[in-house]
Amino acid sequence: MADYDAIVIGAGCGGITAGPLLAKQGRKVLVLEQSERIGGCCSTFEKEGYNFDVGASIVEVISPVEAAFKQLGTTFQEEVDLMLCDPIYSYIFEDGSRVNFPLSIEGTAEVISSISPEDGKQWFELADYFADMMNQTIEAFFTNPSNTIFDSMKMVAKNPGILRFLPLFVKSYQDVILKYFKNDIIQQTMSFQSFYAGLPPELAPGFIALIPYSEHEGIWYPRGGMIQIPKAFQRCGEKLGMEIRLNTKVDRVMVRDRKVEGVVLEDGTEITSDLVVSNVNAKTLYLDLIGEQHLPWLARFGIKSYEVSMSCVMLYIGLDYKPPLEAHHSLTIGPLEMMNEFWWNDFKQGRMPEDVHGLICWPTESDPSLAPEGHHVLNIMGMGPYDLAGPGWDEVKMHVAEKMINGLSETAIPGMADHVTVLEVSTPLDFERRLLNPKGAIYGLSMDLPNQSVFRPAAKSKSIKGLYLTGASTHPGGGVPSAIASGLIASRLIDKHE
Amino acid sequence: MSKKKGKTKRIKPLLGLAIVAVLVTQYMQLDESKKRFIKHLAKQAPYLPGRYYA
Repeated sequence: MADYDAIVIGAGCGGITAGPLLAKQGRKVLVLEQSERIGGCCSTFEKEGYNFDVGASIVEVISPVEAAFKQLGTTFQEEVDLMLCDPIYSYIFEDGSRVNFPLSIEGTAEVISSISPEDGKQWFELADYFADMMNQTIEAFFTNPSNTIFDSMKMVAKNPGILRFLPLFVKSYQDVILKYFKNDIIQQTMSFQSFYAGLPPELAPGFIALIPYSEHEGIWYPRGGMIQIPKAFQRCGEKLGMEIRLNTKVDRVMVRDRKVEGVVLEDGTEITSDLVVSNVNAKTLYLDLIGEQHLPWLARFGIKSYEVSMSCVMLYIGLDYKPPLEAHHSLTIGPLEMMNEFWWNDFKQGRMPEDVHGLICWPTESDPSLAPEGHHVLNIMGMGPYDLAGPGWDEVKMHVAEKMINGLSETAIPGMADHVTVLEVSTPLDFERRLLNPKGAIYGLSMDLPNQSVFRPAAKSKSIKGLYLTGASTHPGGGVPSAIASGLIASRLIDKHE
Repeated sequence: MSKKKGKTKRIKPLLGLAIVAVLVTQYMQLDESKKRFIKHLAKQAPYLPGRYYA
């Protein structure tokens, strides 16, 4: 008799969602997390009285999260104290000037129209188009598996309205933005969001252009930090008998005759189960934890071909003053073409950009309890290539951090450099070490079309019986709602097939 | 009947060439950004069958 009905490897968003849902099915579930905290990229750590979010900074498109909690017999709002963020962005241009987009579509239209009346009208066009797309596709996309062409056909058969949006799959993000907006300033406000899919505007798929609209349906911050979301799932799971072990790393998955038998821990302990749910990056899972000798040759070829998503540098900064920012999220941006040039000329060449362009998250704007009284927290994300040209990350990380802080202190956050009380830095190498994200990938695998849907590693493994995948490297992809959706999808597949 | 078959046999490769020529011409007229987008997708095309079975 197996030790457990199901073993979940990794307590990132996908795994910590799947675990409780499987426990709800009456299974005896063990979740194994290699680090000292649950949540993966959706986690929070404390240093000297300041609380810093590891990676994810807000949650949006919350319908899959609500669906998961509903299946557990509760609601997202009951389990997590969510605070709505408004404005959704403060955009900081290269000259230090700012434009804020409020939550409301109409309010944003007013702001855009004050810069370009024509683009103000186009904003309503874009909003209507993507509101329609979200109505037609979000539930189907986030709650249904996309393992095979038949899954996709079933999705379309149930939601034929999806077909109207097919052109977005063969257009680039840039094509979509340029179709709607002609003013350079307005284009800049829409240019960075392609990097939420880990790609520059000219390579990201067109459907990612949903993001500048979808955030207006709400972005929320959980009081107490992003870790409150995985903690809520953990609470639900433990009430149902789910067991979770921290600081417990899985060394390999036991497979015989293409069927899982359990896992072996780093210390050699074997734990048996006929069902293994992996929240580990799919490349790492199949090539390292399972071993390519267990895979059919075609699957092996496919898995080896995957590109991991982009990596980043995160600065976690404690401040003894209130930074001169105007929103929970600020973006330091530049011209759309510059975002593309940065990708080809800097990121792909192993260089950090000269200017700091990225996301500044100010969580104490929403939740002052994250820092000592009168103090504040900033989590700053800048793009950082894993393979650096020149000296490695361990050698240069503090120099890079200093350069970013000084750069931001000049225009975006005047005075910041003189008020830093705590500084912690995570480079792509640190993300790889701490979270086991290969090459520090923050979104699992690349999110472009040849890595999406039926071409993304399947939630129900096609090679190994009893193996299911969750997390950023399976469908729907990277990001908090997607990873949680993957846990929901895996649990439903298991309920159907096991 | 065999004359018709022979004709079809000759036309098919010509038709194929014509389609390729049209596609290449269209591609050459695209801006550099769109070319990069298409190249980025096209270079991954050989991996799609393997990824489908992943």
